Amino acid sequence: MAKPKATTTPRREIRCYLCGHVFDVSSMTMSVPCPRCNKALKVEDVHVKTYVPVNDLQTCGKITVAKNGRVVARVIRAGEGIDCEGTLEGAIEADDRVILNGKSTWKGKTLVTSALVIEDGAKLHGHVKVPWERPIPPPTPTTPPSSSSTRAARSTTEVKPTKDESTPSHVESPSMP
Amino acid sequence: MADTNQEFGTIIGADANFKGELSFDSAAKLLGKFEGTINAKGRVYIADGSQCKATVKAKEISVEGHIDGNVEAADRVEIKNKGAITGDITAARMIMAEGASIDGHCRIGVNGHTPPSSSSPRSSSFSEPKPTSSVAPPQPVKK
Repeated sequence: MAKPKATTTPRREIRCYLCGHVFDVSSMTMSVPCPRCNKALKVEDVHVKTYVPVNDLQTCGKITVAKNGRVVARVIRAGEGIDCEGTLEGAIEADDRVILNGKSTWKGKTLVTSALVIEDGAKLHGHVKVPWERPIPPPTPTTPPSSSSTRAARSTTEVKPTKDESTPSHVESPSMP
Repeated sequence: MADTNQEFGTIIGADANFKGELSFDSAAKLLGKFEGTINAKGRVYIADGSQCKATVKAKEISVEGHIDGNVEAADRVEIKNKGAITGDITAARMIMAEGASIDGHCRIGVNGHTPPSSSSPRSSSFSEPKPTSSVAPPQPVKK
């Protein structure tokens, strides 16, 4: 009798955008609690195609803002960068590259990222700090070392306006409608 | 971009160390060290390896070196991948390559022209989101 094949789910390494803890999850994971701070983390990529007023827009994946997309938030956090063709309003923290396309607009208190690409025609208003690295938390003895991960196709969502109250006090208030 | 020296009427060489105020009408290329103020009606090119500790005002500013000071361009600022600006940037347009670094307040493309440096922090071109209400205003009651 043939043995059942052992299926190996591709893994990906993510960093908690609240405490900075790095750990592995399945590439199919959409959200997961952080093993260190126990806060719920969104892992999937986010596509914004319309007006999205939220307190916080944060994910360990990538945020893509379409031409007619507009995000108004206190803080916008993306673990794998931002690609913007629309409008972003709010403080931005990104661990990967942020691309502001030619017709995009950003207005906020701070924009901190590891790499920033600005195309001709983009509009900016706010303090920019590039390059920037998220502070690495001190290691805890109970935390196992993170292993290397493989990437695979991941699920994505289109966000709807929601309320999220887990915003730190240092970020600015958005210009809410 | 053509970086031939014929394009630039003013060139500060790599071994030069300039302190003071520099004004010119055409284009200038900075290869060495500069400290002070640059006022130009044309283009300023800060070459790779050059150090500019100055306030730079010009029509067009290209940066491959390091500027420590405020930058104000009537037309555009271009920061190449090795370029770095520590200071506030005001311009109508900006192009930034991956790998470039900025630490300062950016005011780019506001109203489509360069606002005065002492302007208020609030922007007029960034419209505040207006409340969208589907409720019609109250109609007067007809008797």
